[in-house]
This record gives sequence, C-alpha cells and structure tokens, in this order.
Amino acid sequence: MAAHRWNPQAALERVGQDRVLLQNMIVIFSEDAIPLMSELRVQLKEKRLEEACRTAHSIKGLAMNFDGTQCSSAAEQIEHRCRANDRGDYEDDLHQLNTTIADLSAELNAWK
Amino acid sequence: MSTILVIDDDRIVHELVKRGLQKDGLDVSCATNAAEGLKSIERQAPDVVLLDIMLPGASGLDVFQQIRQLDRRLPVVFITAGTDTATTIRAMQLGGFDYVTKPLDLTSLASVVERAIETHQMMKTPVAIAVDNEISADAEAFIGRSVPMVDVLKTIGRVAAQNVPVLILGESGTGKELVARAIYQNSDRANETFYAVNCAALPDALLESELFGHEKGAFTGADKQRIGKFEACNGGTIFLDEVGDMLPLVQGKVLRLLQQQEFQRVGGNTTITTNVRIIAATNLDLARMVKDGEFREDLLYRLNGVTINLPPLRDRGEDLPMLLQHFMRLSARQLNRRDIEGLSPETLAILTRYKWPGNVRQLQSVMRQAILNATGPVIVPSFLPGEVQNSRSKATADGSATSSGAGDLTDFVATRISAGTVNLYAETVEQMERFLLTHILQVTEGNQSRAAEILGITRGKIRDRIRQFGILVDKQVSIDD
Repeated sequence: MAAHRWNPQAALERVGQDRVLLQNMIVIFSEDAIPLMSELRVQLKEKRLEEACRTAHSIKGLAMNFDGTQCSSAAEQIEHRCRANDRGDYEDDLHQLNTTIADLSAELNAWK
Repeated sequence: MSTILVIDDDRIVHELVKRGLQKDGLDVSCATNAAEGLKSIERQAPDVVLLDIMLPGASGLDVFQQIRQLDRRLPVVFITAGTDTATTIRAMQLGGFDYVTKPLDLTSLASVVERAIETHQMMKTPVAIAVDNEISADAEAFIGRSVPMVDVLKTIGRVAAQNVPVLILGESGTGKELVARAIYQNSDRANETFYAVNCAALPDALLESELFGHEKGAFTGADKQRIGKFEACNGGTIFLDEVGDMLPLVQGKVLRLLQQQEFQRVGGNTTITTNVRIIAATNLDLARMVKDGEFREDLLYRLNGVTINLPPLRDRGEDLPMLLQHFMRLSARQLNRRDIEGLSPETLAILTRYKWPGNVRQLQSVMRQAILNATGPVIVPSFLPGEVQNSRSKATADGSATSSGAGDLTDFVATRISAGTVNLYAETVEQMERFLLTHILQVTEGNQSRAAEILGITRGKIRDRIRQFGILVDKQVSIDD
C-alpha cells in the first residue's frame, strides 16, 4: 500500500481547522491539475521548454499546497530538466507525474 | 479596512488567502498574472502584496521591480514553493518585506501580513511636525508648544538628513516611534525601506535571527535559510525599539554592524555587507546599565550619534489642552461620534491634575475610552476610565483638590446649602475663580504673564488673586491650605 501522500490533520491545522476551506482547495486542485498536466504534455512534445518549465512549476505549487511531496518532486524533476534545456525524452517523467497527481487527487477526494 | 492583493496563478492560494484573511477583516483581491496585478496596484493602492516568485510569463523579481517603481513603500511578501532559495534571497536583498513558503500556514501568514500592514501604515502615514492646532484629525502629529517639545522638533529637523545613528530616550508612551518615523520620512532614505523591530518582544535567540537571519540547520527548528532584517533593509532605516533589552551577544553583532556595516547570518560563515541607518530607542537608563555591565559602552557611544530626550507628558503642561483637543477630535472621528462637543470643566480639571504615567499613549487611550463611554455630547467625569476617575477620588480624599477643582462644584453647593449659607453666590464665584486661576497657572507652568494673557486680565489682578486664594506658584501649582 502506498504511503500517505498528504496529512489531513496537518493540513487542517494549517487552515485553522476550516474544513470548508480545505474542501474548496481540494476542488480547485482537481479542477486545475489535470488541464495543467495536459498543457505540459503538449509543451514538452513541442519542445517549448520555457513554457513547460513554468507549467511544471505551477503543478509543483498546486501539490505543495497539500504538502504532496511525491507529486511536487515529480513536477520539480521536469522543471529542472526544462530549465537545463534538456531536449531529451520526458515520457517516464510525465508518467511518474501523472501517477502521483492521480494518487494525490484520489487521497484528497477520499478525505473530502 | 486594509487591502491585500494576491498575485499568483495558483487559485488555491487565492482561495486560502481570501477565506483565511477576510475573517480577520481584511479585504483581499486576487490577480493571476503580472499585468493584472500591476493594474490592481495602480487602481486599488493595496496595503500589502503577496507575490508569487514565479509567475506565468514573468519572473516574480521583475514584477517586484515594477511594483517598486509604482510604490517603493508597498510591502511585498513573496510566496515560494520553498525550493528556489537563490531567487528568494535575491528578492529579500532587493527589499522584499518577507517570504512565506508553501504549504501556507494561515496563522503564520496572518502574522506576516499584520506586520506588513503595520509597516506600511508607519511608512505612509505622514508625521506632521506642527506646533499649531491646524492639524488634520487623521494625521499623526507632534502636538506641542512647550519648550522641551520644540527642542525635540528642532533636533529632528537637524539630524534627519544626516546619515548618523540616533538614540531616542524617553518614558514609555512618549512617542519614540513617532520621532523615529519623522526622522526616516525626512531623511534621504525616505523612499527606501523602514523596519521597526521591538527588541523586547522577541526571545533572545529569535531576535538575533530576526535581525541577522540564519542558515539552514543553525539551530533546532532552523529548517530553512532565513534572511534577516539588516540584510533585507539594505539602503533603508531600521528602528530598534527597546534596544536596552538586547543581550550582550546581539549587542556585539549590532556594534560590528555599526562599525563596519558587516555581519554574518546565525550559523553562517559568509560576511554580508549592508548599508542601514539605525535609529534606536529605549526607556531604560543605558548609562546606568553600562555601569552595571548590562550594556556595552562602545555600543552606547556608537548608537548615540545624536541623542533625543523625549519629555514625559507631566513636564509638558502647556501642551496638555492641545493634546486633549487633538485626540478627542481624532477619536470622535474614528468612532463616528460627530456629536461630541467637548470636555466638561470637571473632566478637564481631573485630566489636568492627572499625572499621566503612560504619557501621550495613555492620553490617547483615555480619550478614546471616554468617547466610547459617552452617552451624550459632553465628556463628563463618569465617562473617564476607572484609573483616571480614581485619581480624582484620591485627590479629594487627601483634601488637596477640594478647594481647587470645579469637579466638586456640585458637592460644594450642596454642602453649603446643607450648612445653611446665605452667601452662596459669592462663595460659589470665589470657588470657581479659585479653580480657574489654579488651573490656568498649572497649564502655564506658573507663568503669570501667560496666565494673564489667557484669562484676559491684568498681571496685577493675577498677583492679587494668588495672594487672596493662597495659591503656591511653583513648578507644581497648588492651593496652600
């Protein structure tokens, strides 16, 4: 079984025990992460690395809101490669990021 | 209501800040990109900006520079994902107010935002150096014509433009911070950053870190590198309030900074150069602390390039009526009590006799409380806070105020009627005259010429009444029973 990707108690603590606020944040994560992931795929396919770097950074930021370290690390890996102008293949990294987003999203929505 | 602007493409941050800070009574607006954010700054003039360090299509640092061009005094708090430390350090060196890392903690964020709002208010609220009564009710101002206050104002004017450290001495509540801000606002650094650090409000270890920053791992809990105020305030002015509360270790580091404009972060080896003007203040006797080995002598001499001594309110008798008028007007306006007409003579008598241990700050608070308590347009003694009213009872109990205060006029009349008087008119007029003469001589600190001018009578008549009523004209004017 996968380790917990986020800590609901710590997250609630950070938002002053405001469950509604945390639920709203989860809704936004679900709404924004998938389209950003799609954008990132296209940008990497078309080797628009500067844009891809920023998109990966945005995904990292979204995950960091929940202390989702696995997801944010996967995004950061792509961000670093893009910043280094690495024009190689990103399929494995994209797969890893996609998986961690799906896992985090599932855990968040299960709590919600 | 203070306004916060969030510039971040992350909608979760928008939601978090909006819902979290609106509970604290703050008005939060959001922008998702740099252009939108810069427009909002021009349109809304927010009090604080929360800025993502990496925005779509723009670097947060570039956006920060553009914000500085629009308003150099607007505090900007950077939001980072916590991984790009080099950019964060650069942002702070350029004059960022602070930074917060994701995941954002609402309590910490609210605290940073509160400090930023206070700093912004300090930087933008004009300090009016005025000696007349034509001061806007909104302005924070130096009010006073008394000799010691005029001397203070002259000194501020002389030292503001000189790049020397200033040491402000004075009891609590005398307005040391106001003096510091006036110096800053009239200095060549007026468009640069101004930070105020209360050295007594932070535990010793935190104070060192707050001032000089720390490296990751420098001490337990230092899980990230932190930029200190001296580094972030490069080119600006730092106000070190309650400087007498600094421990020797921090005193040593501040001394080095004053001597060489250099320091090292806590746990760091790299020497960092900065250019900061220091204004320090304390209500402690630093000279005595030096003798007792509690404060470094060399630091004292470095800090007091110029020393400004702020007089306590009890030594500013002439200023009291003006201060009362100013703070009554200010509080009435802030509390939307436009019906307030003024103080009753009894109230004025009590406030004039009062010793004001908390100085001008206490006076401001007393006027505010009195207006909050007021059920009518005139402030009568019962509207005053308990400690001030109790001082009246104490004065009456020891007999010193009964014969001089109009506050007891009602009691006086009742007592005389009970006693079966048949000369109440003359007795009451004398009582009133006694009060008036005593009060005005207190206000003028015994200056009979000035008292005659205020009362519109001759100096001869003043001398006559002083003899008739047995008024002792000394530094402290009182009735000789």
